Amino acid sequence: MTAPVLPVRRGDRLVVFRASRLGWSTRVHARAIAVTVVVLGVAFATFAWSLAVGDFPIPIGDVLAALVGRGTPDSAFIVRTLRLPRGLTALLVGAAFGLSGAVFQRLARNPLASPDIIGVNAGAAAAAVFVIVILNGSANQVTFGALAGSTLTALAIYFLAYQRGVSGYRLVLVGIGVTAVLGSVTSYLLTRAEIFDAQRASVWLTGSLNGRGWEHVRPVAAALALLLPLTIALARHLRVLELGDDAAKGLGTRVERSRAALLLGATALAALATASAGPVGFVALVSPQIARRLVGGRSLGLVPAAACGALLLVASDLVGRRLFAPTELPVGIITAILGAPYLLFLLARAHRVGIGG
Amino acid sequence: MSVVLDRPAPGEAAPNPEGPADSQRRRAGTGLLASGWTKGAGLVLAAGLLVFVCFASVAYGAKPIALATVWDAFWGYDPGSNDHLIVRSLRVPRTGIGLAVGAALGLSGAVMQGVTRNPLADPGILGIEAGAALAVVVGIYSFGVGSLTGYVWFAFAGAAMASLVVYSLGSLGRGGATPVKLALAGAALASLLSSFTSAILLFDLQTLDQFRFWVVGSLVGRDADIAMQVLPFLGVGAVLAVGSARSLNALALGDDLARSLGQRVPLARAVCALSVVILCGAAVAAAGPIGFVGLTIPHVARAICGPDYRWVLPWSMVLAPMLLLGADIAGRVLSRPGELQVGIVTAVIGAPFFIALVRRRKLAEL
Amino acid sequence: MTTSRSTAHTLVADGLRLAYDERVIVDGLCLTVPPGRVTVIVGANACGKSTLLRGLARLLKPNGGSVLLDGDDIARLPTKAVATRLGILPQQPIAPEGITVADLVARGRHPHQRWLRQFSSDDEAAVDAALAATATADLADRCVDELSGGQRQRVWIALALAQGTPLMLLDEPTTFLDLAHQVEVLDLLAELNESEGRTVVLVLHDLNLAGRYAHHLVAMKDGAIAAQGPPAEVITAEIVADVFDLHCLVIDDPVTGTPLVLPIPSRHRRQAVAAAAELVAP
Repeated sequence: MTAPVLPVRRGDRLVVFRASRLGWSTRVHARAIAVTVVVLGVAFATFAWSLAVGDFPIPIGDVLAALVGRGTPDSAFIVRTLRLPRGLTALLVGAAFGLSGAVFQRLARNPLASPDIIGVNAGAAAAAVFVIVILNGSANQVTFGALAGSTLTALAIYFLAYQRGVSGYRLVLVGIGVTAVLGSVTSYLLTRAEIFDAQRASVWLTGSLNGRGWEHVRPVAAALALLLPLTIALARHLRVLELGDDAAKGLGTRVERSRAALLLGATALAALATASAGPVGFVALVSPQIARRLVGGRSLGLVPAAACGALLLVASDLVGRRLFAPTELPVGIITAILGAPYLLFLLARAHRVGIGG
Repeated sequence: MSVVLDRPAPGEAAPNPEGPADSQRRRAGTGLLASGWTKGAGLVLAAGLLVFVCFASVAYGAKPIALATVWDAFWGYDPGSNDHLIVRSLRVPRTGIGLAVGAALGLSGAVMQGVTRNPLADPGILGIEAGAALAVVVGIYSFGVGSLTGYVWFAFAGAAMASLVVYSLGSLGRGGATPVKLALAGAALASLLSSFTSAILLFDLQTLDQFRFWVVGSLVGRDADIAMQVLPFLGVGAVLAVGSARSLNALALGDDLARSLGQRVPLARAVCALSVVILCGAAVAAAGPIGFVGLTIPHVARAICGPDYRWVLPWSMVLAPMLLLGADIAGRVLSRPGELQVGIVTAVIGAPFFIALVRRRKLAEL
Repeated sequence: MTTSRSTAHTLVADGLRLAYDERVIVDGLCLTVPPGRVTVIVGANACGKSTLLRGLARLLKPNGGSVLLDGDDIARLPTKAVATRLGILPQQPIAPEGITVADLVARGRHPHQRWLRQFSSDDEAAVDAALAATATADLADRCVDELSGGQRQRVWIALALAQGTPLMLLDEPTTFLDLAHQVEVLDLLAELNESEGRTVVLVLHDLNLAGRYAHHLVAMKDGAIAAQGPPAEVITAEIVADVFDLHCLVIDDPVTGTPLVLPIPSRHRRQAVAAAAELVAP
């Protein structure tokens, strides 16, 4: 790197970075960076706190010791095998859902859009319940099944909606049809199951981080590592797609291709997140909305949405674990309890509530 | 929880020299049947088909009963005959409820799409199903309710309260209960209520065991008592809904234009919402939450008769029970001697047709 | 300082056939857009003006024939390469919610940007110049949603300007503008044409403004070109009656000398013919 990267202009809350000798430049909104940093900071603090609290409270000093390999075998087990992967899963799954929801909402130009439309949840649910009820599978098999289910469903919906290109509206309608069928399958399985299997399935369907270990962290971590940079790279196409298909084509974007790539990325994120933690309610819907309110209308808010999702999930998990201790409430219940009132509050005070208002 | 999306932006639809919005409406506006005569004749034919389906529903079922016996059950009733008993006290009320519930779902779905000007709306966005489910679960858990008739009152009360809250919340702020605000409020409240529901279910295994059969939506065991409970409400709701057809046509033009045509917009919206709550609430109370019908049948109706609500509503009222009863018959006949609940079969039968329709025709967007 | 006309880009429609699904709008249309000039396309509603413009801008794939940009088939050129030479302002563009004017105009620089080169100093200069040219610099931090129809239209034109293309196609850019702003926008486009040699193709509804600003006027009817040429040749009473189904009187505009169309309402037609004869012959 020969040329220094210097902030060239700081005006209008925009920070421009330019390395003119290399011909590199980029522009970021200062407020988006600030919000992301703060939210992630709070998320990490919550995550650290979650390592210390629980049925066996462990003081922070011992937590740190356990993390680096020293400390008692008990605390090492609890911290490194139980709480650490669970907390990491919460952060990563939340970020994945938040990012996925943000992309969907921008593509659909609608604050109510979420990965549900593309049938990710329905496919994952049907497959997971199948694995639990019929195959009596282990947690790993459920995860794998959920992933397979959501992938197949997304593909099926895309191809059923394909007719010389995919119109958003047809995609949604086909998605409704396919989701309904899969919902039927899930209901059928739930009524035919043994009650304990039905309960296990119901817990999964609510979205839970219970018993999430390193095997759940890895797929979501891999997904984010791959898809977060990819989505950010495609963000500039998203900015142009927002202007409408005609204007986007006029500005030289390959509309169908960019949209398909963005949809694919967002779907993959949601699918992997669902496979790890089940269809955690509401995170994909509400995190982008929270991020948007914090960041303002100027930024796309993709990374802030991921940060908000991470915070929402890790906080919800902590609440779910401790509120009625020693009973655990699945995280999917808490995210709705935290997220829904906030959304209603926004609704009550907003002048602009999405399209049309 | 249903996902409600706005109309696709003008840039996405295929534009044409007249201007995107106008030609969309004009092209999609003509359904399969264009003139009033064909629509009326078609409706009569469809109603006839529905009657046929009703007969089939009485004739076929989990237990094979000969047609002659069915005939006798009506004209030569023998109280001692088991088969006659089945026909009269089980199948006829069941068919009647199926007919009424189907009509209610189709009608409420069409009204909901009309009042929100959104072809992806279904009554669920007012929180009806979520409210009913929570009330039923509370009933099972706290009050030990176990009978179907018991469920009915709880479900109806829950549906009513949830939609009241959604409507009030959606009316806050500028503009009153606009479609987007209603949808947002409904989505938020539905999520909240269903997480409470899940919480209770996870605490108590017995509640889950009872609830999971109610929540799929079924006509099993629905007899004359249930019919007596819900039919009055369904009747009132149907009258309100069908009477709102002209208001819906006006609302479809947008609030401003509707007002200039003399339509009292807030009143019209409230009456429509009320009819939806009564119809869908009673339907859910009687048969449990059955999805898919309310959302997709209005699309089919519009594809047949165009966007005029004076036709869409009656067509929805006729087509929806056809689907529901057809699914019920299939569920009874295909898995003899047991039964497949109607809530499960409806989507399995309806979805392929719906997807085929989506592929073939450009579905009307209003 | 005018750019040499010979370096201007050429845009030619050759036997162009455009259709939506089964409905053919334009068939076998041939048009050579004169380089370095202002071309205005006029015609009655639903005659295919916008369709033609979209076809020329490769937004619509032709069912037959081709559009040639600098001699190459536009459909075969990489879309980004086209976007640096040809820009289009479509009808009813969508402004994302909450976006500011400066941000929106900056998106016009997209064809010149790469993944690593997202906002160079050239981009910044182009955006500033575009804002200045459309007199929207003082609106730079306002939200587009809050602006009036006229202001919004100027912002969209600034976006098209920022794109910096030698060929500019604009679909009804003067809708929603009051007369003063219509003239302002058209003056701006004329200025860009004269000083920078940009080729401008416009679809306009107002025949009189079209007559004033066009070097080359194309009148369309039912998807075909009914007449084309300098405004004085195209705007005649016969052609207007044929293309627009409108009885009118055409006189010379006292200010600019270009053709001025005076519509004759039907019930006054008999009286007006006599009165017009008096008007024309002093």
